[in-house]
Amino acid sequence: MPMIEMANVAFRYQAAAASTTPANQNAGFAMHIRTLAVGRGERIALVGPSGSGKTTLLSLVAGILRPQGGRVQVNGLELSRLGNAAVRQFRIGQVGQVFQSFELLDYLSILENVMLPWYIGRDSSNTQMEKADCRHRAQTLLEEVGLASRINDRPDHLSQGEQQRVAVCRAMLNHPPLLLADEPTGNLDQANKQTVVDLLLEQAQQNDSTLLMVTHDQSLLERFDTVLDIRSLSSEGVPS
Amino acid sequence: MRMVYGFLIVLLLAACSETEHAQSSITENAATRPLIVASNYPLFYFASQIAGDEADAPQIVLPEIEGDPAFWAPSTEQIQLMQSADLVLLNGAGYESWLDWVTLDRDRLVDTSAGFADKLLELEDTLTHQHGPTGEHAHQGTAFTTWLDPRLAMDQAGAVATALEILAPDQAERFRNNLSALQSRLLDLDRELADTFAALGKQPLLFSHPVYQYLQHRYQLNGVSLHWEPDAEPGNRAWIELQKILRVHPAEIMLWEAEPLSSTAARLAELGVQPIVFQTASNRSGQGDYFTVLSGNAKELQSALKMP
Amino acid sequence: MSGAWYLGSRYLAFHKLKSTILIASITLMLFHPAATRVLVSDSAAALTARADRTPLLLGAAGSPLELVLNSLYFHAGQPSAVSNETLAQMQATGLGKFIPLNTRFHSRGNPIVGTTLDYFTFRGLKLAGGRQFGMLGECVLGAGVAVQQGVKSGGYVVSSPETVFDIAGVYPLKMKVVGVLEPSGSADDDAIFVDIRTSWVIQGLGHGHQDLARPEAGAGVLSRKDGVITANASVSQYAEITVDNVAEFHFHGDTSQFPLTSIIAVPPDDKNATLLRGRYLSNDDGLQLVVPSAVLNELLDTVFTVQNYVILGLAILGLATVAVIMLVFLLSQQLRRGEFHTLSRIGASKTYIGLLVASELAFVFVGSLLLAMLLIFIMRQYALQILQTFLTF
Repeated sequence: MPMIEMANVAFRYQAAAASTTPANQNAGFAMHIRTLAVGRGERIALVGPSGSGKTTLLSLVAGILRPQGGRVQVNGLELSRLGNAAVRQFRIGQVGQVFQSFELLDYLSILENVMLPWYIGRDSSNTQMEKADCRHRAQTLLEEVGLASRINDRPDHLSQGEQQRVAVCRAMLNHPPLLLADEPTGNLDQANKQTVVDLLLEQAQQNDSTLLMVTHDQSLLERFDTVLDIRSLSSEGVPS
Repeated sequence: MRMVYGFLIVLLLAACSETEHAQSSITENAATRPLIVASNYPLFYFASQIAGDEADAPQIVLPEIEGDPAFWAPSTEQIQLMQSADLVLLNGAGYESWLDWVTLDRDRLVDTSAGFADKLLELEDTLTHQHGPTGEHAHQGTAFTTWLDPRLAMDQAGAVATALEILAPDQAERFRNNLSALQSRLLDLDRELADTFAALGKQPLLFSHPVYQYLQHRYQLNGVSLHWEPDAEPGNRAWIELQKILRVHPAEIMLWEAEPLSSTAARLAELGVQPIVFQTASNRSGQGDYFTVLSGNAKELQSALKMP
Repeated sequence: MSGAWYLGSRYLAFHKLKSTILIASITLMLFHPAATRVLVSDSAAALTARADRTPLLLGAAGSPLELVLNSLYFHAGQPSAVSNETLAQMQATGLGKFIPLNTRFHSRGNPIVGTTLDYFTFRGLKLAGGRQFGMLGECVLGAGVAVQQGVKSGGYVVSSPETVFDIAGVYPLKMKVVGVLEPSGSADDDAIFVDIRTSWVIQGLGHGHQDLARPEAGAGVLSRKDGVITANASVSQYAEITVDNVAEFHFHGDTSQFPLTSIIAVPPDDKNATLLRGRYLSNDDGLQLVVPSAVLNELLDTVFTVQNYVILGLAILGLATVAVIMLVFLLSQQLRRGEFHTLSRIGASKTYIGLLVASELAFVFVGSLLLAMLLIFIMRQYALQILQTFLTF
């Protein structure tokens, strides 16, 4: 079974949908995906011009956005059939996300930032690991990325590359089968880009996770199994 | 964090309780026997006679006073004793000059001569002082040896008994009985002194000191008071003054509170004046109680007058 | 602890300054009206307790409030005097116990209260050390005076002249401290107690000097005539009463006209109280007999009315404070939109985010409430001292 299956997915941003985005800049944008299948363990680079819906696609896969039509199935779960709570639980437990702007919480230590999915999920899920185990997992991840000695530091004490490494650790906390990265190297210098992409690929390899990464950086494409142009998915909508 | 919350909760609970200030009053005399302090010996004697010597009778105390209690300046300890007493028996009539500067509870003071204030005698020749040409004032001018008149002493004893009855009403009957016996003895003393002084008639007398006013008044004595002390030599001026007095008041007897100096007695004898001791019994003496002393005075006088 | 609460607490801890200002503002907003109420009610209770324990008070006709405040709390503002004869007249009625007060004088700011031994029994005052005063010139200190003036039994206090140039007036009398009272939590703690006659000596109505009849006092004698010795100005007067000279202290003039500030009347029952009040119903004799609690209740009515206005004002201010605080929260949430978006994308529900915001509010408000209650608790323990320090009663 593919990790990701999408069929005849139609999506349009409504005005209300802007509540999940900081700015209502996508209001009116529409996309249509005839079909998409991503196999388990695949490393896919998703490319396309700005505004072509790459982030929207990732949001649909993660269950952040619900399509108006069509089917989105991830890791055997048809998201449209799940309630909101179930979708959130799915996202916490099965999807690791890395964002372009790192999006670490400045009032938490980097250890707590890595544990953030656990803090979010503890109130709603009784399948979560114990706190001690979570803490151990987070510390291990930070050791792997060379930040073991700085677990009590706050994000503003780290360089951008180090922050993105922390974000990758956060994404990997729950051993997610699916790893989504939306231009994770967009704000990094060349050296750090390579480091972060190496890290993502390494983690995906270790965890046997499927990696779907949006990128504009041509120099990184050769590292991936597949380079997928979103326009080839017949997304008809363009930003208005 | 949990400890902080717990601490704050404990404080909240404690804040619900009120704090109270506990106050208690000055400790009163908790003795089972009431304590009575007398300001002179006669009052001490009367009170002792009236109170009796039963186990629950009020305790009567006469502080240690050196010399004449009229000039007593109570010490700090004696003042504290009086402050702790249930009653302080006062002679009144200005006897206790220390009342002007001692602090006592007014309700515990018993003025035993207040009942016959109209019978008090004014002193003669009061010495006053003033500051500047204006602002004259006079010191106390009342004679105070009231107990020398057995009739007045009976009234004083009655005042003592009344005070004791109020203090210990359960013993009132005994107090009344004892008072009755005491007053009976005072009547006898009065008769004895009357008979003794009757023999003198209107014979001129001298008094060494102005302390015999009530005796003089009660028994109609023809006396003149000097200001001589038994233990001091009268000066020349005093002798000259005496001679002047004797010219118009040819006394042959001079009553003294105590034995005068032999030189004084000798010189008096030269002038034809016989000194006779008539103790006022104001303080304890080694010569007996109130009746012994006063009756003894009478017998001394009888002897001098060669009465049968 | 729930994840949202934990994150909320971490957020507050990180933004220390903002959290401190918020908590401080809300704490003040809660504490202020409560503290006002506590102080007013405690002071009213203290005032009325002392007044309730004082059945009747007699003084010269005039302001009843001034009479009560001066006689019960030894406050400044000296009412006109009544005569010692008035005391004798009251005592002669047999309608109760009558305790004179003379509060005209001070020693380094502490009132000197001339009175009798009855006062101590009446007020339930107990000695912490030493003994009761027994003669002129001795004094007993309230617990507070002993601390303020650093004096204990065996030491001395000196009465203050009323004016710097009052050469022939008030007597700067050196008084021996013979006892110190236990703290009573009342105005008595700050008072110096003396025999009423000692206060007259301070006033110059009595003094002590050498016996002018003695030869050694010759230099002080102006003339001797007809049994009257007139002293000249050189006769020195004692500035201290001791056991050696106390017998030489005396009063000039008619002591029945000597002044008292007031007389506390303690009738044994209501009947005697009524009879007493009937005697002094009219002010024709220049006297007034007041019920201290009634006088104070009138004052307190005004105080409570003012208190209500103050609390109303504080409440309006509180509402404004709450509005500002809510504005701060709203602005804060605006600034945190990115954070909430991240949390939502990772998997947080709206409820979770709502809890996160609520936890911040809750911590701030509950923390403020607890802090305000703590401050009120502390203040209640020291309310009376605070009142006596700043309100001088």
